[in-house]
Amino acid sequence: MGSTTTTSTSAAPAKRGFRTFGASGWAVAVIFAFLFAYHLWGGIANLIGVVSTFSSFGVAVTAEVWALVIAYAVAPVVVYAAALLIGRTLPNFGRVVVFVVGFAVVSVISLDILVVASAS
Amino acid sequence: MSDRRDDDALAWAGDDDPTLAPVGSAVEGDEIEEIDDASVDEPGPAPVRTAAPTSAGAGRAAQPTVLDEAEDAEDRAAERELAEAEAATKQLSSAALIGMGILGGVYLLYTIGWVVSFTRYQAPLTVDFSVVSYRITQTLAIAATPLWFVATLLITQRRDIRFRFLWLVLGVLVLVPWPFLMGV
Repeated sequence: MGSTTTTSTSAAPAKRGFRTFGASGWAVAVIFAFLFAYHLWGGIANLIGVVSTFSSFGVAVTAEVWALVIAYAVAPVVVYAAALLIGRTLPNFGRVVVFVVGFAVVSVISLDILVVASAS
Repeated sequence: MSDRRDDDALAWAGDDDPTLAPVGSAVEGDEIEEIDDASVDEPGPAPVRTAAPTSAGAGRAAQPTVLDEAEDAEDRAAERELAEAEAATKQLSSAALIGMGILGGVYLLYTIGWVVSFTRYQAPLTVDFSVVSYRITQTLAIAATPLWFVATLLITQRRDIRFRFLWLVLGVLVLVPWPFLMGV
């Protein structure tokens, strides 16, 4: 625990880069990685489901469908990376807040993609 | 007339070294008088006085000692700190306040849009996990808009107001309730 406290105290919030994360910062990142994996899992399941449905009907998957399905699957990864980047200059509490907002924003993007897909 | 200190029977060499007296500690009466004289005589921040002392004691008091400089530096630091604190806690300008109000209204409308989209949902007859997952996603989407607003205000609290507006405008672009607008 001694090394943990020293890394967290030496982490100046103004300093840029990921060296300032410390053990607790990375713990926050890992916990939210599991939460974001829920979205990612849904996206991959959707991708597999859509592609298998298309193939079962013998229809080629068009470029638009590929784009939508891949965007749906990749959105959690992109938002997670963005949250990690935004949170790197913040204290741990700020990182948690950014990840929570990101987790909700993934839902927004997913629903946007779904409504675009159903409209097209 | 020589220095008074030389007349003192119990004077130690280097007794009047100003660096020996820590700031804020109780110093001897002579020292206090000297400090007061110096601060009264020298109103400028960095006084450069030519050495034209009428007497030895006055000349010694006129010289800015290390202690004086240290006190000046401390005063300047305190003033700077005060100015920073005042700048940090000053009220929003009218334009910023109106802009915040408009953005807050947009966020409120977005939240209502997501809620309406949530209530339009018609559950299928067989409820499986995909339905539950979809409802979770919709609930998170409702929460996203207020969360973004509050988090932006929270995190950009101590930063420039431009950052606050930048992130709020970014949220307005990201959080548009497309399902509501497209009638889903």
